[in-house]
Amino acid sequence: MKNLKFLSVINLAALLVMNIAFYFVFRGRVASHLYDGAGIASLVVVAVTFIPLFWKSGIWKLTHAKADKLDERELALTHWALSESYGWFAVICLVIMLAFSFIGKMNICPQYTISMPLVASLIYLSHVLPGVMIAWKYGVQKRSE
Amino acid sequence: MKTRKLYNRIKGLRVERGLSRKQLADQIGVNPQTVGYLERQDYNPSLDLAFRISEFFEFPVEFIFSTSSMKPMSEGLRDEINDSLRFK
Repeated sequence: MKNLKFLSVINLAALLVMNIAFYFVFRGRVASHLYDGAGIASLVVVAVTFIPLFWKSGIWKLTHAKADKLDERELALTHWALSESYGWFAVICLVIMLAFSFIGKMNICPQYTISMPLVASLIYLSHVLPGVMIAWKYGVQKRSE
Repeated sequence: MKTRKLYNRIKGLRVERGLSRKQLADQIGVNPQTVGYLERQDYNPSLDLAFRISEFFEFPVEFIFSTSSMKPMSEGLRDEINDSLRFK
C-alpha cells in the first residue's frame, strides 16, 4: 500500500513536471530542448508508473467496471472514490483557470493559451483520480473474474 | 452519521467448513477480496448480504453478526456445556 502511495505521488508529480516543462517549451525560451527532454522524460515516468499503479494493482479495472459487475463493497468504494475525485478535479480545474486569468491579467505570458499537453493531462487526470483516491486510502484492489 | 463496527464469525464458520475465500465468495455473490474485508471486520455488510451469509451458513443473523465483540465459538460451546452440567 505504501508502494502505491509512493507511485501515485511519482505519477502525479511527473504529470505536473511535464506540464511545467511544456509550458516553458510553449513560451519559446532558450534551451527549449532541455524542457522538451524534461517533458518527454516526465511523460515516460507517467507511463511507467501507470502500469504497476493502476493496471497491475487492478484499480483501473475497478474504477472503470460497470456497476453490475461490482459487489456492494466495491460499489461503495468506487462511489466514494468518484465523489472525492470529482471534488479534487473541480478544484484543480478552477485553480488552473484562475492561474490562466492571472497570467493574462498580469501580461506574464500572453502567447500561452491552454495547450494540448494540458488538456490531455486533465483528461488523463479525470480518469486516474478515482484510482489515486483508492490507492491512497485502501491499496491494491485486485478482482478475480 | 458514524456507523458502528460489526463483529462477525464469518472466518470461523468458513474455516470450520473447509471453504476457501473464493468458494465462500462465489456462494454469497461477492468478490473474494470482500470476504477478506468482512472477515477482518473492515466492512459492514448490507442487510441483504448479511442474510445471504446467514442463509448460506444456516445460522441466524444474530449468531453471525454482533455489535459487541464475540467470544470464540469454542468458548461459547464450553459455557453451554458448563451450564447444562450445572443444571444436572
